[in-house]
Amino acid sequence: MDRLGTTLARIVGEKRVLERGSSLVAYTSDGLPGYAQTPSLAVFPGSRDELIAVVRALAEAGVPFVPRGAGTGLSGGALADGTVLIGLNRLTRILAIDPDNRIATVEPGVVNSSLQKAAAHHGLHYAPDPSSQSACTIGGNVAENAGGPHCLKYGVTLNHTVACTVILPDGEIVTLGAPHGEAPGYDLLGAFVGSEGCFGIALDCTVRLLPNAPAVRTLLADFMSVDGAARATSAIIAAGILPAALELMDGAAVRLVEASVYAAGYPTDCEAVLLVDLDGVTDGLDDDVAAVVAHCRDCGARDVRVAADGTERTRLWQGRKKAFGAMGRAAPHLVLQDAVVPRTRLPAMLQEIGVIGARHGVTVWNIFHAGDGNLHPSVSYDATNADEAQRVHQCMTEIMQACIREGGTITGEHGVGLDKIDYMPSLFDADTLAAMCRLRDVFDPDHRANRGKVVPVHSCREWHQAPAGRTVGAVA
Amino acid sequence: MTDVLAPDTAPTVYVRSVAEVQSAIRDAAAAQAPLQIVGARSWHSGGPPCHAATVLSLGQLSGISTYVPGDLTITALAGTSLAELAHATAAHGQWLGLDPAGERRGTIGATVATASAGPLAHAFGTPRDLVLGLDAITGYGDIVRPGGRVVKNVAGFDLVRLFTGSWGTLGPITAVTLRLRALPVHDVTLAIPVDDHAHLPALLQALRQPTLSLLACEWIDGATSQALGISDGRDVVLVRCGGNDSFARGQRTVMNTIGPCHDADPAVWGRVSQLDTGAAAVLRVSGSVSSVPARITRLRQVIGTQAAQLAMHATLSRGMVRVILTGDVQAVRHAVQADVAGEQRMPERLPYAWWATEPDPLATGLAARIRRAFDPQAICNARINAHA
Repeated sequence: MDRLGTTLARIVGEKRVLERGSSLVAYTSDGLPGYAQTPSLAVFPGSRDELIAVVRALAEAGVPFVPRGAGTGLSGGALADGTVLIGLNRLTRILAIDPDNRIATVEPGVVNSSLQKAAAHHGLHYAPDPSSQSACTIGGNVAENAGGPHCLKYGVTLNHTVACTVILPDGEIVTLGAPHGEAPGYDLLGAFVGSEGCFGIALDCTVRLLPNAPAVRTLLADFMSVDGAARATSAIIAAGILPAALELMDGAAVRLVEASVYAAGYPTDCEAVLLVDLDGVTDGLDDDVAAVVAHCRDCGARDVRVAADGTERTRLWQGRKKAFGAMGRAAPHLVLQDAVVPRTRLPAMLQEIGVIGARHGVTVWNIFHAGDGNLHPSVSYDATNADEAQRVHQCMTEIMQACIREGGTITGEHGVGLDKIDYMPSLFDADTLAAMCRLRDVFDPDHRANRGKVVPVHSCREWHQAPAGRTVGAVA
Repeated sequence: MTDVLAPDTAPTVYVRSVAEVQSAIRDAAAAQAPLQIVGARSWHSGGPPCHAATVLSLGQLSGISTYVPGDLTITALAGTSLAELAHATAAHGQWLGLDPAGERRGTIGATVATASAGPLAHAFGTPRDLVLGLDAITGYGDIVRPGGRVVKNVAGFDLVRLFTGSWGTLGPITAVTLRLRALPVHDVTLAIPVDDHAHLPALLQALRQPTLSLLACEWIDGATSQALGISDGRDVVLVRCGGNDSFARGQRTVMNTIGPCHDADPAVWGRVSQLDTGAAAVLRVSGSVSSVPARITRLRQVIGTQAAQLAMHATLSRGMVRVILTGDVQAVRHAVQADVAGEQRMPERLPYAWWATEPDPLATGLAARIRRAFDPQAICNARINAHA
């Protein structure tokens, strides 16, 4: 164990510092295939005080680090290339639930679904529900500004985070936002949420809880064309109906799910399904159901069924939530993209995805948050086949470029991380990227937290004058 | 540094293009001549006093640049008035869920820059939740365009949130893209009199039950609600609910189970947003939602017995009480500016001299470093006592 390892082991215990290559294998990737980076060491603090001591020890040594929650991220954001990885998955205490004020304060390693279970005892829930919610952590959700199907109506992590206590990369501890009432000054919490581990590490997060809706209706509409489902989506949103969730799966994805253990009873001969949750107070809800049914039928839905009970509802959602798991059956590797287009551009964009896929001989599955215009084009492939991997890469690149051309963005909920960083100059001009760098410099002037992520280094004018010796991998 | 007090003595420059704003910022930076950045100046005395050689008005940088009703998004230049936005969106059965205090000729740029919200924040949140993208010009004169036109976007560091509520201190916002909502088919306003303040906690609890889905839920003091024509002098909770016919009828039924309530003209919300006209001091006092009744009681005790006339309204779900003082306010200065544990105090408007003892949240820590990173020469809306 080298000098830094020894220092860290004194804080967290020897067993909580991993340095050997074999013990680090699990931390060389996150949920995104195609990238592998090995940290110089991984350290796992077990308490707030240990986390503070670790960050301060790294600051004193001038060592770069990467924070990591459950490692379920889909942008390569939690990969550490020769730097220290700080695992937060042992910080799992729910510190307080205040049902009167409908907030909860948790440590960063609390799993999303654990908070859901704890809140459920009070008739409350935490709205952001990423597909990985059974594993992903609240700290990771905050770092990525995570979404999920039900963010259509209720908003993303940003809209539900009211305060964080944060340790900055230099070891200073600051409170951002306010658990109660308005926080004075700049919206530093808003800047921190979604900063992908580049601004520091949350020691605790205070989030809003919502009362459970008294009534929910789940509808499944099936279409003989993807275009019809996309048009129905646009029509529902344009009519002012705000479903809790509005998800689209194309026919190929439906058939994959139905052939798996996650079979949900979707019709396998269709070309697309829409899965719609409408929730709220009971009065008037069925009027909205009728309106959604009418819009679907107007756009060519063959059938629209309403889940009869909670069991059927859970089953229908199980198919959607586990669809990416079902894809694992098709080929050894899966690439899952994340982009957003204005909702009226969905029909055109889906058509273009089909054209791009065909041009490269790649089958692209579409399973996505249609109500938000948040696409997740996905491809199963064999990454060891160089030709196939190249075609898939080119296909995905062209899809992302098309989304930008349609007035969209390169990520709606997965973050930029490593994976999207090359697209940033296509989306933002040089002055905007430079301003992002300036903001990062305020939180991390020594450029040690998750460096090399989110904003290309060449965009950051000031970074060219970075302190000497503080390069990636400069572990003491 | 030129040190002229705005707005009374500094000349005003009206800009009509983004290029003119950029030139004004660059010229000001070169000359080290600070600017006070304003919209329509409908909120003339809002915010802390600034150093300013020139007042830079963006009130004429107006117009809707992109509106796609099918996407429920709109992009407008900063000087576009709230009235113009309301008019354009209503034509498509939509609205912006923001009803900040002040006149409707107030601009969307100022609304976002000050993160102003009103009673509709109960359902729709504040500008932080509604702004999808913006254009702004930093103190360097650089144009930045974070965010976008889509409703979900996590690309890059969130400069949108940073500029929203920055009071122009990082540079002027020149355009914003906003999330819209469909106008409800039925828009019902009901008033519930509060016979005894001791009943307010139970009423607050009842109004938060999941069977109610309200657009707004505002407590208003008795004298003010009487002046608004919705009360006989008792305090009132004014609620607004909107939706289809069955929904509206159902919500009315639930409300009637909570207590006797009567219909009010929805136009009363417009009058609520102008309660501060002519006020000498306005501030928001916020804290936990459950302590709002106690906060109201405390504020009444420390302020309401003095010579100044006190009006109060509270957005219950935000834990926020807005205090509006008119008349001779000097006697209540100490009470107004007292820090109370568990409460946040956000002054909107104060007598000039009072600002000297108000803490400046941008003067220290991360905020001060951000300020310097974006406006190193303190050209934009530099608070008089912030750089002393």
